[in-house]
Amino acid sequence: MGANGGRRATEHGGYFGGGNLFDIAEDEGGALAHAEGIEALVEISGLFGAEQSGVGAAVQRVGERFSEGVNLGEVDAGAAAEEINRGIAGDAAEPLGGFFGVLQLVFALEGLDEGVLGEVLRVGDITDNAVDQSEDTTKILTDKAILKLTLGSFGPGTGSGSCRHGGHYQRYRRKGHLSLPDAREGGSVQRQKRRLRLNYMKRVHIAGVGKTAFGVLSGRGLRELAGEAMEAAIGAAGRDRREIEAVYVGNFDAPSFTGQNHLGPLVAGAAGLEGVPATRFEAACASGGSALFHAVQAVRAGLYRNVLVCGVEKMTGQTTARVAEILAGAGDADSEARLGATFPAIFALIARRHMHQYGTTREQLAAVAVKNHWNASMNPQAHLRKVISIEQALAGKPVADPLTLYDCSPVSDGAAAVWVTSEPGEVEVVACAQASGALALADKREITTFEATRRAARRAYEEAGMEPGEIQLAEVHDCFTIAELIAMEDLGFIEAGESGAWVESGATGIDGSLPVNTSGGLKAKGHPIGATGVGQICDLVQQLRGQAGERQVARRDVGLTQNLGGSGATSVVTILRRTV
Amino acid sequence: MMREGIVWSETVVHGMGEPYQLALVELQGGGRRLLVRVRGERAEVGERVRERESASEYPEFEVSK
Repeated sequence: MGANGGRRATEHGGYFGGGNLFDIAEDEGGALAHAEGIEALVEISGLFGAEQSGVGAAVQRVGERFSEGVNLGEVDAGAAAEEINRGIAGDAAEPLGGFFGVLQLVFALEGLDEGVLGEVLRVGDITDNAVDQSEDTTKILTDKAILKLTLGSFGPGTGSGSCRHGGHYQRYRRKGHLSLPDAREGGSVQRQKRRLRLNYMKRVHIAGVGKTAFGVLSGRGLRELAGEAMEAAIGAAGRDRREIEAVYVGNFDAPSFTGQNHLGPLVAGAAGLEGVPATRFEAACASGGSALFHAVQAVRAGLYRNVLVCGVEKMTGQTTARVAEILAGAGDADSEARLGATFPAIFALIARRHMHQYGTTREQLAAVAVKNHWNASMNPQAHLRKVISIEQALAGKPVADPLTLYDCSPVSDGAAAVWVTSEPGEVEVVACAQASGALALADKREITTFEATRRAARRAYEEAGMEPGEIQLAEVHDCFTIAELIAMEDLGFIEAGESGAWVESGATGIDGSLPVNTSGGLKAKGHPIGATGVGQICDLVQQLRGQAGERQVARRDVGLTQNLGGSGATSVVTILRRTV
Repeated sequence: MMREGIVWSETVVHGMGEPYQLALVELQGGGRRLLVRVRGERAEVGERVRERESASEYPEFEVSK
């Protein structure tokens, strides 16, 4: 077996059976022999031609051989595969995707029996390879071809998901995968169709990120904050801002905090982007994540090539009571806000139940605060840079039992921006999923877990073809300390009820097996609501690029962000991967 | 008809004027939950509570004696 064929299958964890190119070629020579679309293949290879160096070269070689009169039925499939693998040695696996994309197209265009196509696809991870197809391939895949692919009978995934978290992580029961029965999604068929759709969408990268400091930024308004973050992101991208085709704004409640509505054009104008479509997205504390999610979908779908996402919030300058009143609007106005159920109160109810159900302790909640304050002390853009002790955290001013002031994120101003693009880049958005759950606490089946997070996480892992154990660092939504513990469980990093002991053990510290909130998290970095989800992306990108200074983690290939809205009614989970 | 139930979770809210207790109550006979204010003695998780007469616009409960 050649090295490349084996590598490919291993990377994808056997999503469609774990086969590799050589196995496919050797085992399915008969199926390949059914193909008769030589002319189509030659035509397609010409389309790749000089435009795509990787795909074009490999496919063109195949095309040339076929144009010389070689019939697929006569081709030594194993030799052909080997040739292609040789062609991509030292490069990404793009040509594999191109090659099989062409094969799929041949089948589709020639109206061949989809059973044959399904059989070929079923054997190996060809659809995974198709993810790597060039944009040109995507463009020329017809609806008919996609329909045929959808009709193919695929076997279920068999991801192996080896555990990569050592040390502290091993002391606890590991969650190798995330399971969440969800009748609404229609089971595995729906999931396979979703993966297929993703295969034919554009890949999304991050061109640049930028953010302001988070904190009490007196005298600076929404326009100025957003402008600073966007200029930083545009500068980091090193590209012409005229390439930006749309601006998506994450903001929770500027009208209540500042009297300013209609943020789309205001923010776009702050970056000199008047004229492009500019829209505000609101999903409570997940507003920034939701703006990012929609931008990623737009780029994936080919609607835009470049979208600038900006999250911004100006919260300070209000009384605590007024801030609490505004934030309560993220809950259920009828059953919660009118009772005086502030957000600290809602998360206190959640914490109390978690403590009752699992034995989680106040000290374990405090450990989250201590860790995140420690991390923030090394983050020059953080709101609270004061190191605290467990004793200080426990002795904090009561806010809502069992939560004290040190369990709560601060009220902050700030902005963050991310330029998402279909152009290749150093960091790829390999997954971005948003889900929802019940708005009111009383309507949730359980309050010690957020179904929206579990649902979004499962979709994100599916999109990325990854397991929780493959995530190397995470920025999660710790609006309150209990929220970080629940996030650990909902994201599949640890079993339900074990997060408190896990965090207390140091596993989520910068030097731990899974560093969490190395930025300081919402708890200490700050929580300017609309900016939070976008800021998490900025922080993760900083880590993946190795630019986090004292807070830099050792393993920086794959990271995850989780952005929560309300008491878990919206959740956005994003997975980023370093490409170089 | 006054409702009864078991406290599923509870908290006492500070810093918003006089401290007050909120409880998430699992109502008797159906498993439906309701967020309520608790008056009088503090109710603990697992404790039985019942609705009380109130002129307020939200449900008020108290510990069952």
